[in-house]
Amino acid sequence: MKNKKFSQKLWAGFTTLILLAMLMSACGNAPEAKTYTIGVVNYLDILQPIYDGFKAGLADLGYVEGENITFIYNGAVAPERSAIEAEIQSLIDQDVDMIYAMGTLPALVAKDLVAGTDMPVLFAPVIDPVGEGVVESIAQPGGNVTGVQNANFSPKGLEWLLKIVPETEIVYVFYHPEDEVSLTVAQPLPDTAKSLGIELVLTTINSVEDALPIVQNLPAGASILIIPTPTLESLAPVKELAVERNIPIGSYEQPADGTLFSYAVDWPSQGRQAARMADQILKGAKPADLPVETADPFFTVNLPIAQKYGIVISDQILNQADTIIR
Amino acid sequence: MRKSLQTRLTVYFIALVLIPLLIVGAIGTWQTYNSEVPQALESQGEIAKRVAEQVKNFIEGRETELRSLTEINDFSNATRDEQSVLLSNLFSNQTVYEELILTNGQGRELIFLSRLKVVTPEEFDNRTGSEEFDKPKETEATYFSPVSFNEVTGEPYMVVSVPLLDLRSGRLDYVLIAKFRFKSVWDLMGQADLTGGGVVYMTDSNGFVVAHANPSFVLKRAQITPPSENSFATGLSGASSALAVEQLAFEDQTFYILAEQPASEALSLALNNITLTIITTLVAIVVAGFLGALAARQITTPIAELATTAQLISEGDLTRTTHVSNQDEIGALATAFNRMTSQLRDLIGSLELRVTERTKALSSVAEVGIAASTILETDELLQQVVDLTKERFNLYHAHIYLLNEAGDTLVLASGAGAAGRQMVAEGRSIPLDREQSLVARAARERKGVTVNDVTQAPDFLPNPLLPNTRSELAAPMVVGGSLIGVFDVQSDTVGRFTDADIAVQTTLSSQIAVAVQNANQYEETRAALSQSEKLFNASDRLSQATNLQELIKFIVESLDIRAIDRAILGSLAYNDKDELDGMTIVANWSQSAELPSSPVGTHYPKEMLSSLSMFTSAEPLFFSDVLNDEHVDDATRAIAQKVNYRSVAALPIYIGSRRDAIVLLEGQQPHNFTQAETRLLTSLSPQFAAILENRRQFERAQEQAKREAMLNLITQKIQSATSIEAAMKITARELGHALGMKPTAVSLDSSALAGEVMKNKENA
Repeated sequence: MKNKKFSQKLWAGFTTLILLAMLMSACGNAPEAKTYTIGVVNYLDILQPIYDGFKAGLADLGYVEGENITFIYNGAVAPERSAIEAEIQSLIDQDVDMIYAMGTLPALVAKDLVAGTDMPVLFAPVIDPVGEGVVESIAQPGGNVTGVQNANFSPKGLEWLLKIVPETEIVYVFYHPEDEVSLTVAQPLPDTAKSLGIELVLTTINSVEDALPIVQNLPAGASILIIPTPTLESLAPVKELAVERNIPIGSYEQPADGTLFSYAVDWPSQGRQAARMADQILKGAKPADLPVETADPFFTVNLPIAQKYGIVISDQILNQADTIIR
Repeated sequence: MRKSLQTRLTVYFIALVLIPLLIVGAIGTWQTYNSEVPQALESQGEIAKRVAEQVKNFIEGRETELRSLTEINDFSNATRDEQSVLLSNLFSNQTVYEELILTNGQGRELIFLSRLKVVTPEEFDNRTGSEEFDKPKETEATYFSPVSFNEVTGEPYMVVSVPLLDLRSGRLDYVLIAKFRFKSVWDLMGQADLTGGGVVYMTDSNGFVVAHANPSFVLKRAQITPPSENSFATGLSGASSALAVEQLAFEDQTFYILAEQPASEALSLALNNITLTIITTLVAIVVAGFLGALAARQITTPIAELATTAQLISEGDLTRTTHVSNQDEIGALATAFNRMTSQLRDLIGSLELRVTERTKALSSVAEVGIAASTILETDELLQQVVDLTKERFNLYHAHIYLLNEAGDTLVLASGAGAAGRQMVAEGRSIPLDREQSLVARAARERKGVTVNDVTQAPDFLPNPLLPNTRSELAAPMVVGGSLIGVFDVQSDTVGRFTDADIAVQTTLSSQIAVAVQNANQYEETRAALSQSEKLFNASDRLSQATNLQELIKFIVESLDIRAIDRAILGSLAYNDKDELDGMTIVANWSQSAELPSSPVGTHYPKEMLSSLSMFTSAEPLFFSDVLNDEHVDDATRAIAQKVNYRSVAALPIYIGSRRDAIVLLEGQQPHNFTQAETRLLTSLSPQFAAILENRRQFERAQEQAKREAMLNLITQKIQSATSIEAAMKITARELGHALGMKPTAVSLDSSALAGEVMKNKENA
């Protein structure tokens, strides 16, 4: 009996050690088996493509949802600070490995809430993160926050509007007075218009409904340039009305739905760009050491809309388009 | 704590496997390392070279592109709009350009195309004074600017300026300035065919990273000092890496393409070798440990069982045996161990039996010894000893021989049973020098001897009284180094006696010897006491004798020798020369009137005495049988026949130094005078002499007193005389009466009165 027990122990020890040795040998090449949790906070439904790009980018980098990565995403919350704070605090309480803040306000709130902790925050998109106080600088963000910024390409959008619709005499731009994004984006436009020799009207609206009467009464020769205004849910009625009234309308936001063109960041691409940074953070890189990257602008031409306007867009312009909607 | 043999064997086994394994592993790893290092550096060098070529082609391609645009399309002669279209087409087709600027020969901006900002003609500037205009103007060659970084995006960019010269005059017509983003170069870094874990990146002359697959390194302005040659050094990641460098030069600008691969990847084969060695070592440890433990177990288990069994045996459990069934040396050991245990068990059992037997024997010895010590009569003692010995030791026979006084013969003193008594009665004895006798040999050699099969002894003499004797043991009885006898025991079993038995019987014989000696001493003491009592009583009787007749009578009675039936006391007379002159019987004694002794007054002349040794001997003489004693002279023998006596003791009595008298004791029957008797008689001699002398002196004193009384009486009678005559008569009468003389004449002479008196006396 004693000998049997000894043999059993011997075999057990032998098997254990063999397995241990195999495990040790396997550990050298296998990816870390840790499962990461990313808390996502969004406050605009239209930013969903960025989140999709973000997830696709992580998938390309080997993260499989449900296996080694988990996303806590409750959809877009109300675009109010309190709602965003509650959402981010909930994520902090769940001790996520990283917070992905979609937009300037979530990024700012997340920065404030994680201050004093080592919880990293990745943002995308944010326009002028230095100016908004999200990071200290582009090269050395400092703190726990970094991400992918959107440079303000609104002047270039205005230029493209004028190139596609050179008959434009006056350009209308709608913005929300309390919307930091729209204020930031609209800021350089007056000077640009001046230098381009065009009249620009910055019109304050508090809702889409406020814009519709204005569009309804725009004079001939007027064009509209849409800029991102997260506070407003959607400007689709404005775009539809503009097309209906044959008032050319361009956009400095993605996508080019209902507009002649859009000149803005490609959100899925930006999401992938953010995913690459997220991968570095999850692997131990400190946000403070990861410079803020900049998303590239994409020029999209919407030929069906152009046809509705009866506008023929030159080949020279089409050649410069990154995407042509036919 | 005791290190177990199993652990040690396992460790040795593991060491035996590991040492060569580690040596081979180390050598293999070293060789692999030595071959991998140049391979890794060469591999990285090729990557760096390949990427450098791509970067070179890319940047030079931009220059070529710009030159082709201006040279192929007769750019200098084209209208401004045509130039604008040409540039716009290039701008549209090559997104790498962030800005395309055309200046005239004086540096004035003519066309400004930008992807990120809006520049109106009113904002056109003059580039004179900037390197991108001045350098190509001066050198008429393409200018490459250092890498700069965009203030908003932080991304690097480079400016390439191409001078457009009039072919005929060589005049500078235009300068085409192209600002292109390095993002496209980043893509080249990302697209490079890299080996595991490797990266390739580009730095400017100051070591700032300007292109990297990971934009973070560029954006954060990471910096590294490019090595002078391919080597292992700390790479951009901070880890030791195989670092290869390739230099690129565009006019004044120098760049470095660095291919970097972590040493852990570059030397993966060597590391894998190490890992493999470690794994193999671990597996070897496990396997060797397993096999070692198994082997050690196979070795130590039976040993442990043996040890356990030995422990139990050492604690007294001799019934334990091992159950090792190995068919090897250990199995042989176990078998031998079990055999040894069995033998040990038998031995101890035998020892116990022997101890029991020995104890029993010693108990018997003690019992016999105690019995012997309590018996003071020698014959009874010896008989008791042999009977007890035979019984207690379960022997066939036992008997004791005692050495005679002469010390030359062993006389059978006691024997067990009827046979023994019969042999004693037969007066059996063995001369000490008999060679064939076991008893004699034991006595001679003073040690116990055995014959364990008497039938095989050639000189064995069968005893009809002891027909079943098969083995015999004889032990000497020695006390104080003196042999007093031999204790002989016999068994009817062959091989009955061992060395232990010899020791036991020798011990017993010694005790018997001591007991015999004690008994003898006791008897001697008792005899001495009896002797002393006899002597005392004799002395007392002698002192009470009132005359010589009583004296001689008391002597005989004190001696109490039945054989003595007559006695005489002869007074020796000496002449003037002090020579023996004769002997007169002064006292006699006889047991009966039928056998009278020589009468008192019988005188023996010296002639007669001189021929009789018993009268002339200065020493006491004792003859047991005068008639048959060769030492007795014929005269004495003749007298003995005449007066009919055969035993005689002659005791000279000395007064002073002179033999004064002789006491002669005679017996009609022969009698062996014992030592006690001779000693007693001899001891009485001085006392007898003293009594005799006292008697004589007493008699002389009585005589003297009687004379003096007579003299006093005569004197008184003489003094009572009233006259001299009367006095004279009285004197004569009294003296004559006193002296027994008749008649007595007395004369008175005054001068010679005294002398006359004396003369009368002498005459009387």
